[in-house]
Amino acid sequence: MKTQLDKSFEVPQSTELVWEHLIDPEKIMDCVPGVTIDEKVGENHYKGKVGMKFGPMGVKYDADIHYNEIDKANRKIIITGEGVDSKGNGNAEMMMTIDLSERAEGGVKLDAIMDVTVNGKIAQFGSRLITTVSNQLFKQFVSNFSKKLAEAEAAA
Amino acid sequence: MFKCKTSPEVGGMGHSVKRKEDARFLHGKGKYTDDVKLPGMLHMVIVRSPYAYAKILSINKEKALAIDGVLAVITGEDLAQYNLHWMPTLLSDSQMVLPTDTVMHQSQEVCAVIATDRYIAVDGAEAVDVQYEPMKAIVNPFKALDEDAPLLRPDKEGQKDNHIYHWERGEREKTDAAIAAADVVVKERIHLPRIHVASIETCGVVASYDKDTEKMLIYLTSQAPHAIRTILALVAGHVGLSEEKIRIIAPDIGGGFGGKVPVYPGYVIAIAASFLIGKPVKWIEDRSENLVNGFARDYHMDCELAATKDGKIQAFKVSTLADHGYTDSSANPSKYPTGMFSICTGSYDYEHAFAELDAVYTNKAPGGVAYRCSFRVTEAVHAIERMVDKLAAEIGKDPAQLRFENFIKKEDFPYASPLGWSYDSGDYKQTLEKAMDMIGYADYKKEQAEKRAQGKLMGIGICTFTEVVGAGPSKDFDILGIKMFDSAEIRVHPTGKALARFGTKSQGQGHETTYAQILAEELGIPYTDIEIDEGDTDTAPYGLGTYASRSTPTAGAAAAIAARKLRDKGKKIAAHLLEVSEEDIEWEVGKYFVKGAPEKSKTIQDVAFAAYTNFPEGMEPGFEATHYYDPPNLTFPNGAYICVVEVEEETGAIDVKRFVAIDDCGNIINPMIVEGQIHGGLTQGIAPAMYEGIVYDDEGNVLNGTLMDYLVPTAVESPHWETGHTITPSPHHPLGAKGVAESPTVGAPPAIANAIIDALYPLGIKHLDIPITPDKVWDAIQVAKAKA
Repeated sequence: MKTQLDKSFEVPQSTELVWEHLIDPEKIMDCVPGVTIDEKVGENHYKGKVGMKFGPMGVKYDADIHYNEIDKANRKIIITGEGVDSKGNGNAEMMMTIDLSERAEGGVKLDAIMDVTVNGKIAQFGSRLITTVSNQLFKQFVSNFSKKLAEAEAAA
Repeated sequence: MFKCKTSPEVGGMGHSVKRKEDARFLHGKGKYTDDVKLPGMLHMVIVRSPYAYAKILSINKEKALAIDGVLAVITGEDLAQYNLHWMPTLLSDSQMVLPTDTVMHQSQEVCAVIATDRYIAVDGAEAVDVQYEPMKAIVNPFKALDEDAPLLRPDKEGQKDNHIYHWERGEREKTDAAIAAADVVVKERIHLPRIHVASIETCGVVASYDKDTEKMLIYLTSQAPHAIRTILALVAGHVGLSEEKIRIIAPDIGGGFGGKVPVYPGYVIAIAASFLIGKPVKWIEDRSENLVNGFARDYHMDCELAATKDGKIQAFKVSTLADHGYTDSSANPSKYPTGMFSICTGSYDYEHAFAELDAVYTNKAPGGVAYRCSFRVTEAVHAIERMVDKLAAEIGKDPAQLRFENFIKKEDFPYASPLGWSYDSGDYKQTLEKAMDMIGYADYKKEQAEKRAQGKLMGIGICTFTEVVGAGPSKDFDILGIKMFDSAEIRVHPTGKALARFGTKSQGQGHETTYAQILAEELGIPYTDIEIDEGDTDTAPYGLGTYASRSTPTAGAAAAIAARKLRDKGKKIAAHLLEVSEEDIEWEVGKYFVKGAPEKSKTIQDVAFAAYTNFPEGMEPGFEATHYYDPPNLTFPNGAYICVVEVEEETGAIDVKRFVAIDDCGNIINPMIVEGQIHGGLTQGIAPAMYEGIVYDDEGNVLNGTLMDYLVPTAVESPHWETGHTITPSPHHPLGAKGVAESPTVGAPPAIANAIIDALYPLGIKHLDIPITPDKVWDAIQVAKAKA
């Protein structure tokens, strides 16, 4: 099944600092609950794991993550990911576009659009929960990401 | 009305005696397939595909086999060694038992794990490592025939696209011409969604092969054990499973509804596993496996109904696209790929009709079971009954009045329908009048006018259906060549008690009571003295089983005729005992007496005793009879249902205020059981009308594969059903009975849909497909308001 998340949030840090975090998978993926990056396998291509629980169903995807577009001039990135559940319960695909825009009053606004397609048991048993769980995960991500930026800012 | 011929103690036809089987069910003592436990029994769990369409790259059994207690992992390659990886379907298509290279729908069987208990088997199934290469699935049946659609069944010789078959009946040109010339033509595309029977008991099997005796004993959730045994012998004969060595026992069944007619791959894998291992193997489907395998309905019907401007129906045309999933495994009679869909001309008298259907493959589960309906009658009735209401709305005529003006008249029976059926009997006018009286139709029409004036949404929906059941006459009806007769075998013991066995199989219908009542009616032996036995192929006479409301029309008739054979023999014995000639003996229920001297009599029990102890010289001893009944025609139960609903405009919530069901199923064996059947059937009618529908996404994932998401109505959702009946006996059935179990499932959905659409009509909403849920109604209201 397909689901789309369309989210915006704001952080008080500088565009430069936010951008630096965004293009570094180690930094950004660390903020997404259940996601780990294991290795860099090529230019803008990483392997990692994505584990999530949707009500009664858990999945653990072996994932390939690509930075398809890093457009510094326009402060825009496109990340795609695809994963196959390690227990053979299905697969998932994700495409995320993030746009940064500097705010007049300071800080940065991030506009994220995420298209997610899941197949297999998650779609079958968890479809009702996907939007709710995704919203929850996104909230946690925003909180983790903001914290990480604040730490980085303080350390600088 | 029907007048009882027997006392309540004898309990013949027309008595609402309590069900004999209920004591064990109410005490929790029913014995179902999952209750069967055999020494050394192994358990099987199936690994299923997460994808709707994928190549299987590899199946690695290693980790599963390393688990203590896992004995085997069976794959398609394993079965291919015995040529058991594919099986034929009833309609000459082919279905995978286990795949060797490709999976064709989500949840398709991929391999099976055999272990010492079920928990270990589940762990084993999780440990099997299957690598897939997912492919783009065809989910929308309308796209299955696109030029660029991938060919789903390259395994079938000569198959060039995803089209399975074309079927048609009637006169295309004349119907088209009548439609072209008509004053009024109403058109609609109507979809009857994919639904599931969702019986409480899932499917299951315990197969036990004894290598020494070479006997295969199979406990099976089957509505048709004899037919399954023959099919098994035909498809597995080459490995040594010979029909006389196969014994199938269908124990108690917790709901069949057509879903337990087919042969599922799980059955075959378990049987093959037992055969190879030489130990009993049990497989019981879990709830989600049950919900995502098999289906009913899924017809997209383009309908056109033509009439004069004052509403005389002239022609009906329906062109259907049927989504069969990846194989046509419909459980239909051989010559009827679309079942009895041609009953779609309905209860109305007109000359021209044409029905055609194209069936296509998609990446969905196969099935096409006749869910509580005599092979596609639900689809047919929904089409005509929605269209009749649409016509009534179009020309501004009361839908009841429109029906009265078009009904086939009582005196026109037997009626030759434009698509070739011979309706046996009916009095449609009387039935609808009774329903209108019971509900207070005229008052509701007034109330509706008042409510509409206040801007409130209230609707009244009617359905006056004609069913076609009791398949069927041998000249037309067979399954894999086996004619669709059914059978009864009666054995009256010396003490006058009896055992009767049948080729059918109850799944909750109450056969142990109603068959005993038929015999009580015919022989005068109290129904409590008659044991009924079904479902064991070693003991029961051959029959095609219970589905399509066929038990009373076929096996019930066989019981009556077998009993009459016994009565004829009894007459000779009575004449011998009373020392008169046979011509001087007369019969009244339960006893023979001498003409003109009623005090000189012998009871049926006296005669039974004499059949073993004091029979006339030269007569064959014993008191037994068997009959195999080949019906001369089908039976045509009918009814008039009226539903009143209110719809809340702000939320789309639908409240069914009243529902009246008047059924004419001919003579009634047990009114209480009939009423129970109708209550259950109406609830299974409101189910697709307002709640149920299997939802697929574009990738072929089933999005509601659990009972959390697939909404089966419970007592909470069920309105108060009000029932009644009229009786026009079937002229050709020995008891004048017709069968009833399916009428309410067929008749309720259009009555409810018609009522809801009638409620929404003032907003300009002219059609909604079922299930009509509050969010569908709400959406339609928003669209209608935006247009206005």
